[in-house]
Amino acid sequence: MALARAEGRRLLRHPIVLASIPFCVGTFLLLTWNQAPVLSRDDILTGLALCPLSGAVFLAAHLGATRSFRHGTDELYEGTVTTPAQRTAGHLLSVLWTIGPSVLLVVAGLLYLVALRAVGRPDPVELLTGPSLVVLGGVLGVALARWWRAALAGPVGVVALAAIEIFLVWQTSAGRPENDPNPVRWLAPWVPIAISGDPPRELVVRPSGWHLVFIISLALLFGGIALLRAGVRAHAVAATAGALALILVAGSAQVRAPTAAQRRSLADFLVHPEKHQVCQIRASVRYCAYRGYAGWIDRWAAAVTPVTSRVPAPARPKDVEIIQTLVVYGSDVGEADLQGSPAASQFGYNPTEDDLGSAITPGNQWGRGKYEGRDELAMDLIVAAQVVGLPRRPQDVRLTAAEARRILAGYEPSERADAAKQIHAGGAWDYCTSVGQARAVLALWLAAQATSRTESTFRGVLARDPYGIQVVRSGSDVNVRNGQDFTFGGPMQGELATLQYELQTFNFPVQWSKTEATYALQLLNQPTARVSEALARNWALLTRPSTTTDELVQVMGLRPLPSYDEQLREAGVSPVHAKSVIRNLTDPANADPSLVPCR
Amino acid sequence: MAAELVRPTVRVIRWVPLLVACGLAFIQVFVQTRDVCPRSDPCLGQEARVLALRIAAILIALGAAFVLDDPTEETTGHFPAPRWLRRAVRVGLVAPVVALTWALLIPLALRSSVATDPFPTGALTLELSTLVIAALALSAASARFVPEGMGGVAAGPILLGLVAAAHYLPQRLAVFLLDPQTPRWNAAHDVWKVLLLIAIAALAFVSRDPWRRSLLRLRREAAQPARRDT
Repeated sequence: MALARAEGRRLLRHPIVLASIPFCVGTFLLLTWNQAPVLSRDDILTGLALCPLSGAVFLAAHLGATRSFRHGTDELYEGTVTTPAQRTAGHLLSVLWTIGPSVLLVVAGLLYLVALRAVGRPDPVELLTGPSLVVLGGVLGVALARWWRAALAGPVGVVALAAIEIFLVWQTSAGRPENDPNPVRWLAPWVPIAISGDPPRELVVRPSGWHLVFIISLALLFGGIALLRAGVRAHAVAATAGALALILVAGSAQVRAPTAAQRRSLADFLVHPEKHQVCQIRASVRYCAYRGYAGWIDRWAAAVTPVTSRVPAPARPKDVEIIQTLVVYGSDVGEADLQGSPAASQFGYNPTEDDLGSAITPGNQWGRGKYEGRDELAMDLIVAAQVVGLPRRPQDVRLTAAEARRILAGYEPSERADAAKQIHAGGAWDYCTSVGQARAVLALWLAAQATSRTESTFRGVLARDPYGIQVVRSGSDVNVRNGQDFTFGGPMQGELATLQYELQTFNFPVQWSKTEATYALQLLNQPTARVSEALARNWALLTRPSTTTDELVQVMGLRPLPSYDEQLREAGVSPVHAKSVIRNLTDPANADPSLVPCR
Repeated sequence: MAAELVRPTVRVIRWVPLLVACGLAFIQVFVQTRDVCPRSDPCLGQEARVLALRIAAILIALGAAFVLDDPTEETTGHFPAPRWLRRAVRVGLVAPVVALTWALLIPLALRSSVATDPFPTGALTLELSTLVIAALALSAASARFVPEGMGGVAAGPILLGLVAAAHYLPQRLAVFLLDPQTPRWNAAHDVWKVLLLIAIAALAFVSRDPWRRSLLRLRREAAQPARRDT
């Protein structure tokens, strides 16, 4: 014990171990910095975060156990009262001194997440995985030192362990479906929640208890192997054999693929969500979250309420619903388990045939910091579209006969008959454009003004892809004689349209144009109360589908945007050159025939 | 002088770590690039082969770190062969072994590849060269802090620490990229070229002969007592 105590203290003070702690902290921060914390998911990440410490303890334990060999003092130890086996046992026990700091790191990580308004409950077994990996690292280091004393062995051992981890976790599952990874991955020291995707803890089967037993029995096995180097003793053989038996039991128990019953039980979360969710109504909006995520209703309401509160009371819609779903991709739930439920749309979705309803469906992830702004804006854009009367689902976009004919004309004659079954007058269509509609400006402003994060996200999106033709005066791709180059990102604001996918919502059809977004930005630059009051006064007019953006510009006293030609002329481009630039970049004759107006 | 150093240097170099590391690299590359899927639908992409060869490069560098270990360095300081020359001979003797191992590892990693895109052999060789020379420089630099001048003991963990730290760089500065088609691949390998130059300069710097001072410095030192006398 005295040797264990002395070596344990040296191990904790070893420069390699101390240097690994910032790596542990850095790993944990990198893994969690852009997500609202979910303790039932982030507890698994504590294991990965402690891997640098595990590697460091492995190296330091190897160096400690080979110290006498490197210094040529092995023979001097022969004169002491301890036997080689006792010295090995001392080194093995010294590894237990690392449990304190590793548990401390795990607790610090949890407290950090709790301070960030975490939801969910951590699994104590998952939390113990990290410290057990640190102990395993130390025991492996001592065992390696007893059988391979060369200084090379430590670093090579760390690389080998990293390669084994990568091989078992990722490479054994290569070529298999995302929802059926190879269970052999459980023989790796640390196992992520999924090989690909980011499913919730609720939709994966994790034999974490057996895995902890497996890790501990591996530590016991290698401890026994280290002791056997000093001679075959009965207790060492018994410990090794016992650990081996335990490894076989725990190893075989954990590498079983989830059973059909387990998969069905997981799928129940999606097939019958109402059984697992809690619902609340706040400011006439209905929110439903899975029990572990109930704390997120506050986050969602904080984003949605500032949108609905700007709507005059009589015009407030009663049918806005935020109903959480869970991400299936990468989970242990297969498509067959979800037959008939709306969640099956995550495997494949036909917008003209499948009606997914009008609820907004945030998933099991919610951003933090600027990423929270993106999620909030995505949610608020849909809510705002609903409150101003824009279509919510493809089923709300009814094609006219002329539009159906125009879209079908774009198909090959051989495919046209088949396509006509879905594309017909009165039929659903998966997207529509809000170009030229005053209510689109209104919706964009309502969404952008909701929180400081939505405003900053909205401004960022427009700054990255602004309205009009941009004149670039220098750069590597300048290709015209007068040193000017021109960029044009199209009339539509693509990033705003794709934000919905971050919420696992695939059926919001509205496409936003840069013109309306830029007018919304002008409104955003004015005092919110004044804009809100003016909009409330003119609500009926501005939300009417026939009211144009130009009318809104007049009513709200906005500055009309320059046309593309005016923009180029202001930038000093000659009229002839401007005409050719507009023709080449905007290609007005090649307008998308499938783009229909939102009604 | 260098030719006369070759035979004794061959005898004193610590070959075992390097050869063991090379042997392990063969096993690791073989296992990691074994594609169990049919050739018509392979499971392993170029990323997996790049990763396997990169891990092999780290293993080789760890083994090479012991090549400069010389417990007699202090006692042989007065020999006519300067330290940089003795170290250059060691590096020169090891280089063919590393080159041969690498030349065999690449076809081993690509044995089941059906990719039509060219494999980034040159870029990975640049990474190997940088890692090996960095390991040698770290070994030489840390020799003075390690008992009996066995810098290889310290160089391995330091190299692993640097490799681990590089993985924490933000995406726009990343140097360990897996997909050769990624837009940053070439820029990252420009960084590797700079790192190689730094590693070479560091190795040259730490291999200066401490027992041979410049004439200017000797004259200055000789002049100082004279000034005190006056």
